[in-house]
Amino acid sequence: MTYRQEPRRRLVPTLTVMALALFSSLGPTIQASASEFTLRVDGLACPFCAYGIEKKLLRVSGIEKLDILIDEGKVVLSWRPGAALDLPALHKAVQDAGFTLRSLIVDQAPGELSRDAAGNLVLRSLDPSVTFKVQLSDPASLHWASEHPSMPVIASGTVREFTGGIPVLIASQIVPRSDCAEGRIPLGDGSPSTCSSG
Amino acid sequence: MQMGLPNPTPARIGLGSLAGLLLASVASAHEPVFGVGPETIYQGGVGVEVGTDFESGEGEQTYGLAYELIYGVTSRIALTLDVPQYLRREGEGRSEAGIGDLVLRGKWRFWTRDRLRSSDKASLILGLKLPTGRHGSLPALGSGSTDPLFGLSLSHESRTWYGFGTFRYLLRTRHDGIELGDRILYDLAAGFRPWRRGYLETDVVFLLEYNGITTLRDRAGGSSLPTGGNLGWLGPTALVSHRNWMAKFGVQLPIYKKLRGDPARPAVRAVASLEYHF
Repeated sequence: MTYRQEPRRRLVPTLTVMALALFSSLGPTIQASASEFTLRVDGLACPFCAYGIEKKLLRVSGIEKLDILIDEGKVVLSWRPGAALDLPALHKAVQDAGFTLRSLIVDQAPGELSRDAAGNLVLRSLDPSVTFKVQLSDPASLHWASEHPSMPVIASGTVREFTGGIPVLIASQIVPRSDCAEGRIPLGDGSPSTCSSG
Repeated sequence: MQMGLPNPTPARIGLGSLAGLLLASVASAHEPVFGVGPETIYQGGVGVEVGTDFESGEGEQTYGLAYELIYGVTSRIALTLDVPQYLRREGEGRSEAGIGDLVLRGKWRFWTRDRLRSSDKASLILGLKLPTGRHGSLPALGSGSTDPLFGLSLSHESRTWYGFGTFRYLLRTRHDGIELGDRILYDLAAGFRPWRRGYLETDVVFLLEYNGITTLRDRAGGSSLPTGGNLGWLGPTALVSHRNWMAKFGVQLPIYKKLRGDPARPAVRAVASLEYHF
């Protein structure tokens, strides 16, 4: 039980972004419902160099403003709620600015967990065309996910492999997608009948 | 005078024809003020730099402006145009003013290793120096030759330390019956950022730069002429930037000189320039 409660408790303060990846001929996109994404960018060493990042990323549709944290190698993107973000476009913008995009940090990626033919855990959204390949870095989450191979979940982590193929969500936490009332903790599959009493 | 040909004075060796090669270069990151680094500019980006430079040697003084334009074809390929303008060039008891030799330059950043808070880069440099400066006058404003240029530049950039090393070879062509001796230019620079500044804060970097020039002998009629030699300058420079603006300042003193047949003292030089990206 603890491993289910712990991830949820840690996840609650970080609720900022809902991310889905669309695997289509146009490349993966993310549908954002909240306000911020964070990019991990390598090569950022000085404020003057970072101007290219500002110029290029602000041209990507959906981005309203950004903050560049040079010492952390991060670019925090303020996002227009509901706008779709093209992952390859993000990758290209960072590349055209002369830097290397390492990952996209995702605070929430809701979907349904399952296993593919190769046994990999796959996170699917309600839209069957939207797919993440999930790698879990938290052993407790991995154990829990193995026991619940098909259920609604919320994952948080980083998205890698922006070009070609399915984007990989490196999830450090994964918890049931719950219909529980506020303050109640999902104990089973997240349905109201399996919520804690208080 | 050699065989009735233009006298290879210190001015011809050290100053006029080199302005476009030596002064600060525009790039999307920090580069040496008196040399060139491997930096390019973001794709589609334009950088403009206007600078003023002063050189004072024995029997010669130069006051000039330098204009530089850079365009980022991709984030790895940049094209640059250098335009030196002499406001006054004094030497040999005379004074001249006008445009010097234009330099077209292309950079290809063929290798990059980006890491958290640091980046290592290597670029190939190709260029062409055009004979746009008057060369028949005294003092001359250009070399009179169309010279291709190629080189290699490496850099390490981090939040605190910088290092640059650049080698350029100017393949000088024939002019007025003389096969001008080729020039080898080498730049070494080490830099330090005393205060780590965030984005949209004013940032300061100090560099110590060494720039050397080796000029091979001119040749005429199958014979080598007593020209060319080695020059080296050393001095501090500073780069002050804020968002897409950068101001550059530098002073260099001649620390090494070995010119064939020329006892003149080489020039002290100073540069101040302002760069803007859009």
